[in-house]
Amino acid sequence: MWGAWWAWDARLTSVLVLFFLYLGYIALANAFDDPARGTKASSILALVGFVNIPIIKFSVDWWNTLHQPASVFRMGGPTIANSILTPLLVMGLAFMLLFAALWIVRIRAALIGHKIRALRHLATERAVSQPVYTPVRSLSA
Amino acid sequence: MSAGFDFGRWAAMGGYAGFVWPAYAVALLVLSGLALQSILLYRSRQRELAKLQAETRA
Repeated sequence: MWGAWWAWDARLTSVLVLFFLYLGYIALANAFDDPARGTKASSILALVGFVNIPIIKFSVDWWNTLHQPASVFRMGGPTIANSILTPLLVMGLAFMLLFAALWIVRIRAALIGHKIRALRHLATERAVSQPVYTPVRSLSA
Repeated sequence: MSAGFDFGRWAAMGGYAGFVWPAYAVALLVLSGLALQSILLYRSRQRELAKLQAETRA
């Protein structure tokens, strides 16, 4: 994919569709007042959207456009020179590790968010259940 | 002509510098922004939880 900013290439286009699915996922997850409903709806969208993953993988074999056919995970081994393949795999691993680290941080933040919501809920319930005394005499006096 | 490292030649990326370096710049910007936002979110929620817990105990 060298020497072009954009082409309606099968790989580029299918990844663009994935990007839009991702934006839709984020929008749907935040569209509900009740976060539980939002996560449920967006989970269904994620499952449906996963159909796009094998399409992306095989797009370079199904449609013969600008992108080269599969060159790393293919029968008979990679066709990439080692001087390119090694950094590719190392950077791939680095991205995975970064993803795992960020994922852990964000999951912890989400768990704390749940705790905060539960505590707020508890506080409001307590405030509601406590009887409020309004001495009638003081009103008439 | 020396056989040493030619910075200009390396930075030109075989004529693809216009594609390579912006790609690095965008990746660095997006990834550091995401990391920073995640850590700040985690810390602010931790503070909020600590405050709420102190209030409920009181």
